[in-house]
Amino acid sequence: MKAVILWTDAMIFLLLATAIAGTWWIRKRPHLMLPWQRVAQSSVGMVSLLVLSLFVLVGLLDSLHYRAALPEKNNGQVVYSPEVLSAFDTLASGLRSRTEKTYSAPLAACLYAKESIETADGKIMRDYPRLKYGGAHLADPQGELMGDVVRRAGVGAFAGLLIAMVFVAVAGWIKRSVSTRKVGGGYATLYPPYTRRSLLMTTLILSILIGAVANLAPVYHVLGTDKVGIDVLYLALKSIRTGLVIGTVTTLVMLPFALLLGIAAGYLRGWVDDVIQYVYTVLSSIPSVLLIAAAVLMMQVYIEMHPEWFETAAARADLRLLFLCLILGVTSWTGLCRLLRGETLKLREMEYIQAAQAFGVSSFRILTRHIVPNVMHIVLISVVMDFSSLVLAEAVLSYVGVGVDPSTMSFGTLINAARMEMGREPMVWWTLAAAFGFMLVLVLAANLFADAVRDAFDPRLNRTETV
Amino acid sequence: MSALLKVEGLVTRLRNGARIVDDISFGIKAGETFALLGESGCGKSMTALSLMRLLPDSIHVESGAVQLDDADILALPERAMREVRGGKMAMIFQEPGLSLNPVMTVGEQIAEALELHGGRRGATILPSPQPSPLKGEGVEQRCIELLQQVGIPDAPRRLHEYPFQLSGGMKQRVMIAMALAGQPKLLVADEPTTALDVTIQAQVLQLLRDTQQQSGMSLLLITHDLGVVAQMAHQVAVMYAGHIVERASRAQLFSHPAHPYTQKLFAALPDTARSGQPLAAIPGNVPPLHDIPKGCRFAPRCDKAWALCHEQAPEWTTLEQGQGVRCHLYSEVRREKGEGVERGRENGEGGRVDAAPRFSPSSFSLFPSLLQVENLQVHFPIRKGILQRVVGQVKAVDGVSLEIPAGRTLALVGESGCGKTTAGKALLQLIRPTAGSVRFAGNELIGLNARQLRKQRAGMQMVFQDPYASLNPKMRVAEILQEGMDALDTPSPSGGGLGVGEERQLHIDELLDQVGLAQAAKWRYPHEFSGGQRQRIAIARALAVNPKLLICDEPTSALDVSVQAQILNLLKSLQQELNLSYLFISHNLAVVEYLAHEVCVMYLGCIVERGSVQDVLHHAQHPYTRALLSAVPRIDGRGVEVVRLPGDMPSPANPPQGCHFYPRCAHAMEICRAAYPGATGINATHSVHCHLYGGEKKA
Amino acid sequence: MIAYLIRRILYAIPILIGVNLLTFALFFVVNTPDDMARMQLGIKRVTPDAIEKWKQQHGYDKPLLFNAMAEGAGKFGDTIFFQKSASMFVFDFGYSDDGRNISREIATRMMPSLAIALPTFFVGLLIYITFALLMTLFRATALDIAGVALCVLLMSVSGLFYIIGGQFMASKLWHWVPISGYAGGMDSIKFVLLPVLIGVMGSVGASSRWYRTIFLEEIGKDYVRTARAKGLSELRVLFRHVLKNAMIPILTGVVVVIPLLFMGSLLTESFFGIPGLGSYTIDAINAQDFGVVRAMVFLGSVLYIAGLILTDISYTIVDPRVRLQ
Repeated sequence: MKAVILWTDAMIFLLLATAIAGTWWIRKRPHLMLPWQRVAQSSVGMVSLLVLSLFVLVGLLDSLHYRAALPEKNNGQVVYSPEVLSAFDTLASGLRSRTEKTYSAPLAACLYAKESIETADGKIMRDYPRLKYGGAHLADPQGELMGDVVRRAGVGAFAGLLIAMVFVAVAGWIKRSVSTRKVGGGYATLYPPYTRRSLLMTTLILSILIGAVANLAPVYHVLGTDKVGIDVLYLALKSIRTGLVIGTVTTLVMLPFALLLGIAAGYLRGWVDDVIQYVYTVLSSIPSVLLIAAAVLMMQVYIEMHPEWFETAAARADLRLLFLCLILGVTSWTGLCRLLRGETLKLREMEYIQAAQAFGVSSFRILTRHIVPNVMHIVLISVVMDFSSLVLAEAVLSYVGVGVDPSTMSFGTLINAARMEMGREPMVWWTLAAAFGFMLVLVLAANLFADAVRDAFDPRLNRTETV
Repeated sequence: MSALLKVEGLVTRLRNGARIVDDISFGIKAGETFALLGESGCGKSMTALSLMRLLPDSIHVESGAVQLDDADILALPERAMREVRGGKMAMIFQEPGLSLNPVMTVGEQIAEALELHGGRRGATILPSPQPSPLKGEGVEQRCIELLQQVGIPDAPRRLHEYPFQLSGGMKQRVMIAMALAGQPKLLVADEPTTALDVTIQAQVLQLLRDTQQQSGMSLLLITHDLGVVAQMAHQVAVMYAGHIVERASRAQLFSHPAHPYTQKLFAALPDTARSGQPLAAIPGNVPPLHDIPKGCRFAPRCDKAWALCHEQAPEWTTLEQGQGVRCHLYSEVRREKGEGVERGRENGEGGRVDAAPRFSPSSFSLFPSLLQVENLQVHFPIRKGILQRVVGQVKAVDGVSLEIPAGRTLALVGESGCGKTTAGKALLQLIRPTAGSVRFAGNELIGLNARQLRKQRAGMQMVFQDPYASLNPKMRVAEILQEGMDALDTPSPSGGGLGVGEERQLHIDELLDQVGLAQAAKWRYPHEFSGGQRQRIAIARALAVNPKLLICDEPTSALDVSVQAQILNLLKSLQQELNLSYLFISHNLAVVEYLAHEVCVMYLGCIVERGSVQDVLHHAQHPYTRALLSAVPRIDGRGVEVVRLPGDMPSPANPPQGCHFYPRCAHAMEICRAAYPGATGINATHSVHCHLYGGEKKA
Repeated sequence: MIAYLIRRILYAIPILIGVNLLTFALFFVVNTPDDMARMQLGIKRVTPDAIEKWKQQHGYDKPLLFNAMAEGAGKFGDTIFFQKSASMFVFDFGYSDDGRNISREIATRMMPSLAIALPTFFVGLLIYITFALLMTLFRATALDIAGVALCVLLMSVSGLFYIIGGQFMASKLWHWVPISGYAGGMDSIKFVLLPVLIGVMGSVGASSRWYRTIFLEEIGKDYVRTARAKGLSELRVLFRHVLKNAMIPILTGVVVVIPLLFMGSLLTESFFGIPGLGSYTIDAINAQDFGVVRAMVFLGSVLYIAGLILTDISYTIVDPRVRLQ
């Protein structure tokens, strides 16, 4: 087995490291903790964070890539499979490997369309053929299916509930023993009771849901299968990583530019400001879809001309994904840059900046110590607010054909594939439903979390507290 | 005569429970001016908004009763309340600039009020079956009348102008016109002159008095300014932390303030009579709303408090002649012992006397000069046209010369927009001067590059006006204080065998001691401090690099009176201790009188009069200085001759030809129109730029 | 005002040159004229001669940016970049790869684009502002909270869902209107109805919430308190005072879009098979027709800059404080 670190993996790890370092940094500074404590007090914010963290977990597992060693050896050297897998693939290997022949509905035991089947006695008849895996353990699908599904879902749900309750009880016990040692209990004040209650409820509901699905998935296709018989649940879960990468790496790519240029333009003014303003006016005056489309197509041509660069298909698709992030970053860069420039213009007239200037403090130090810390809330708000629109944009771009590589699983490619089947009679609806459903939950959670963050960080919205 | 407005036990609170206005009762008679006096955050504005039922969404009236003309205000349905607002009871606000709708003309905004309320009382003279709301011609005519009534010249033209085309004073006049449109019985004025300059404040207060006399309406005047109260009020209520702590007629209050807080307020005012002595500052700060003391709310800051004050809130006690007070000194328990009232009185006087040395004013020229400024000019270009060519100059500072000796204070006095702050910043080279010479300790500062300038920076530092904007919210106090030392590599005064880091920490501790803050403060962030404490930190930051000259730009104008006194005392003692020089920029003449040795009066970028405090503030020569002095409301009612300035300060982009002041000057002559007057010496230290004195020998 | 406009228009020229340079670079950095010729002529049977001939025919036989061979101004003038860019400033876009006049193509395709975009824009604006005003009027009540929740939900749904779902419901289940296509004249209404509806639906969540935020910000200002102190009713405060002032931030976001309406919507048009400029662009991108893409990028930039100038002018109408200098 050989670990493979794709470009986007590296980006994700970098992002994760930044997040961890940031958390550590903030924890030691009470004035930076303050807005986060406000986030923690919002029950909507915390519930959406919980849901988001599930998505992130799947995305992270899906970012630990490796290539399996093949059994045969070449002159004593280990040969690795050309297929790049992830930790998530290994966990969900059952889902991945149980492919059917073609479409089947969610929780079905038979294919979706009638086919000519040769029976044991050599007769040809048209019927719905049984699935290879889905409900294969049932002797009489028509009679048993319903009962079996309900039973399995019930057992799974109960198990999930049980595990969650044990987990909550243990966590509660740990917290209590910690907070009795700490006088006053630092944690008790973090979440007000209603936030704790809604967090608990959400945990339980999610556990029941996951338990039920986990118990059904080994013997059924919970969300059906697609045209080539791949389990749709697997596809949808794999799409999460792509969405997360687009939503976060794009920001990571654009952030340094926006921050540096925006602040430089606002603080230094003069010709620096003129040049930076010129650059972003040029970039923002090109309709963004056109710019993205043109750039992606050019890059596609480029990659096709250099197939020798890529060891595996996954690496190729990954580079395309990274490039998409880059170009999305370039187009969304201008908005934040303009915002930061405006804020810096305002800040540089603040009296504490003038006090620093009166000490002869260098421009660089003024920028890093006075201006950057005071614009960070804008950066943070715009990062969380952008996330959901980027996830949505990916779907649209992939759908139009200028998004991710067709071999990359994403919500856009899923929808694209499923749309062809809308015209079928009877309709194949589950792929679409799965893609839209997963995307809705992800984007809704992200939007709600972004709202909570904005409410906590935006100084203009906190006026009532200071009355 | 029965009361027009009666407020009984009014309680207004935040949704989360803090009581902003707590059990307030008072009454206002018809034609009377009732002043509600208090520092920021004491709940006086919220009281007014409660009466109008215009509280913000997060605040609501919990209990109490408000009677206006027999109408129970708090019980009225919203529709009927709208009749009251602007009809029986009108209101004007603190910031005339923000309180007028920027995209509607003055006329439209007044007409709105007229259409709602204007027709009603007109119907009593000419009874018509339907009280018709004014429309068309009638409305316009009435608008013009109202504008003329509030003293706006050229009213028919102003009618069609937008608020941004009017000056601050004009806007407040428009607000008053709008309030008068409904011929209210009660006008609620919430700090109506706080945002205005003194000469404009005098105009607006005069207008309020005149209108009141004409219309016989009552006035509820909300203010923090004892001077304004002295000029305007019949009855006064003093508020502190949501309570009314004292209520009396103006005469009683000013002659015998009963509550220790009121007494302290008087003692904290800088005044000529005491210019040598430290002010009796009230220690500490107003308690925050969510953490109100259990007993008397003033007890933690009161030097007469005893155990009972900390445990039990005092009841309302009525003294002779309707004066009332909320203080244990006067409660029944104490009075039986026969010491309450007496003690209060006696201490009220006692608070003013203090055994501090009097600083004797001495002649200026005896001291060697630390800072010499000659013909300083700061011009900002006005650009226009396709190619953005420079078509003119805003002459913010136009030829200012001054001199500050070591250990002395020079005050630069003027109204907003006169260029005094720009001049201060130009001295520090925060704004590059256009021309002139600034010599600090013998070194010319103008024309130095950034590196050369840095060497000179340690000598001169600045304390800014707004303590909330002058400290970076993301830095600890220690980091704030250390920044200057790091940038200028300041040698530590303590010195001796320690590493640079440790030395700096010691120095920071010393600085905090010096400005009267606990050493533990250095690990905290600015938002944890009150305005006065922040200003102390800002002073410590400036002192960190051992400067010889501090430029103080209105350092107390954002602070309450009681806190202002603390800061003024601190500045004064620091000057004695460290032999500092101050350039004190201010519009507040009382403060200047208290702190300064020499005074320069600025008008439109130029100094019009200079001299010692005694010369300028007591023997003022220039008509502008005189007007400025007479515009300041005095608490003792002792006015110099009344000089009212008409109009507003012209724009520095387009100053009048000749003497800048002549369009507003009562003594303007032909020559004033033609030439800017040169300096005329009155005596050795006193000179003035005015043609009235031009006949004498020119200095 | 006139001086201001002239200055703004002059300032547009370097921006348009920049835009052109960028598109130009994007195409030619990875895709040389030789590659283009090969692509057009078909990869298989292509000779160097044929390539040269194609390049000559289409004007790609010159150096890209800098002609060292030429004299004087020709060093910059006699290049592909200059030859292809200069004519665009007089809106002569040349010919597409399939030999059609791009300018004429744009002119004929503009109408269908407008037929979709204009109604979407105005109907949308009306609905969003009405919805936002309602939420503002009932602020901090259950109605407002439900409205905001609905907005967040709607803005979390992918735009593709509206298009696919709308097409399916309207055309398949209810047989109201044709799925796609376009016809001129009165017939266009039935083709336009669905795209407009879906277009409006697509941003109802985000837009209404944005307008609500603007209104709420205005309603917290001092002049609103003054208006209430006069005794005005809440509705009059909202319509006479708040709405007028809120126009300033609203115009900032809205006016800049108006000229871009000519460009049509890439997505909607390609989904509904409307022969407008949006679908024209998409087709050109897929066919890698540099001439058309460049023309559309140029047009888009011109319209965007026009939008910025229009925004400034519109301020002078709603805000008496603004004087264009």
